[in-house]
Amino acid sequence: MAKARRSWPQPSSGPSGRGIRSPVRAAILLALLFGLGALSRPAAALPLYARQTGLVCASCHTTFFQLTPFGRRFKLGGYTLGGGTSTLPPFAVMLQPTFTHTAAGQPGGAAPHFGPNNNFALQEASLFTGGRITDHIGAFIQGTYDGVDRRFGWDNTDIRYANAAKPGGHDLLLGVTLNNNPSVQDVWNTTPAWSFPFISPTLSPTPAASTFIEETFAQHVLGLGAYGFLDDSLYVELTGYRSLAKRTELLLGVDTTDDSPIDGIAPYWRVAVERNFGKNSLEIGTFGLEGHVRPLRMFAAGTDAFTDVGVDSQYQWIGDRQAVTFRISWIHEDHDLGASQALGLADRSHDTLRSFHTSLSYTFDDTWELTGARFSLSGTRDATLYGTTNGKPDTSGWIAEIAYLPYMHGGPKFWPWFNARLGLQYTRYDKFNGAGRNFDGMGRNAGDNNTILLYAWIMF
Amino acid sequence: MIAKPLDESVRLPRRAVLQAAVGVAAILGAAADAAAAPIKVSKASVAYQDQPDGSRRCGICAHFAPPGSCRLVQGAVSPQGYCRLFTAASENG
Repeated sequence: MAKARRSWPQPSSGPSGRGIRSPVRAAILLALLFGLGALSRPAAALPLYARQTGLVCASCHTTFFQLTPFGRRFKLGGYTLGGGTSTLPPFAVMLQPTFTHTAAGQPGGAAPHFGPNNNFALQEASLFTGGRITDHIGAFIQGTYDGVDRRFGWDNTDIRYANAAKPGGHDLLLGVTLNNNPSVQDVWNTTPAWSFPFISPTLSPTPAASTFIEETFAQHVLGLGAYGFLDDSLYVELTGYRSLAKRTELLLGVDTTDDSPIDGIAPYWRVAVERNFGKNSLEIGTFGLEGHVRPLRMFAAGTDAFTDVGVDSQYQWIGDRQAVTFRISWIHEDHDLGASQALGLADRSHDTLRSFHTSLSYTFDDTWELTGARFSLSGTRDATLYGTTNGKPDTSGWIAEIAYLPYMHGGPKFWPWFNARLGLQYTRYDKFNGAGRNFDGMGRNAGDNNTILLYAWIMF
Repeated sequence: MIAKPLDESVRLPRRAVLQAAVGVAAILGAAADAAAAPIKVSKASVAYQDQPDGSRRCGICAHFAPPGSCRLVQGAVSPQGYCRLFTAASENG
């Protein structure tokens, strides 16, 4: 479920990276997926979790993949909760056929093998495995074929151990997570890996800049961390991330183009408080990532340093047939660019970025969902680092989406775990790569990147 | 100074792999020692109530464990109670 977000600000953009195109490597990765799947018990919003628990998708999600309070605890409990009677093997499949239209076409094509506009694509096809391996170990493991880059690789992965304790009369859930994307282990839909929009077009222009914590290291790192959930309310986590070697990334099908790996270990932290009262659930929290990176894998000038600090909140009201979810997050990034400046990759020795996201969803009968969202990225001017015409990284806009999910309460009789999300999403840009008008110096306006995405998101 | 690319041919993160392997081994070891009791969720997270919701009640739910507990939810559960996870016994997949 990797989103279409570019890696850290790039001074240049090369061709699509080398990934797993070799049938042998793809076969190895598939064999690993099936091997891990074989470890899981054939018990059991993934259809494989629905089979494991004997619950419908609407138990864990208002609509996928917005988690409910129960869905959050299922994940914190290590994906181990049982209850189902299915004996099918723990695998699930996801398909995302899409149609993408931008207000103005993209000269030269939206991507290699695609036209300038109005493109159909199988954006992603994924194979999942995981679920409960033992009573205290479980997993979420995804391998994805990217139909735009035409590459197969590992995707979001989160393997957990969790257990309950009762120190001093308090309820304490303790866990360990091994994952490959900072915030993929998080259970609130306000942190980058699982935030709205849940699906983004990969055949429309993507902004040049983003903060490091917003998917820059997704699938490029391995993180090992520990967390505690006290009295069903206070969540505390600390995880350390280390970059994979390029050879390992290539083996796993990761795009290594313009890769800037973490030097040493980057700590990620998360503190959140959630209170549930009646039909209401309110969360307030903070999260962050700090580390050093080697710009474009060059080490002659040392490393750059960054610190991302985020604050977030999520409110849910879940009634019998209706639900409302409000999400908001704000991230501030400090970026010390001593190495990049020495290498001629940045104009300044210090830059900052600020990223803001908020969205409001209304769900009816777990079947229809309307969402409105606002996003904004702004920061200091650095033409060499961001490669924008006026040097600013600023991008902002609005998203409106309507989605229809006919199977949240169970699929057709022949395959009750079938689920689908059919959606129409419109993204409107106020600014793109620093300006509203002529942002590329070639006469293209931010509004020319306004995008209509029509998608089917199929799970079984 | 000329920037040199990293020598990628010998840079498998052996220490990281080793650390991860030790972590996984610790996880598996801890799991082997752990009590077999599965982790359940709180009543608040599933909006549990002591009263039924129309004809829907815990006593006829697939997850109810007589006489007064649930396979998914912590603590004592009334057969006349109800929560968001209600699944009629005949529907459990």
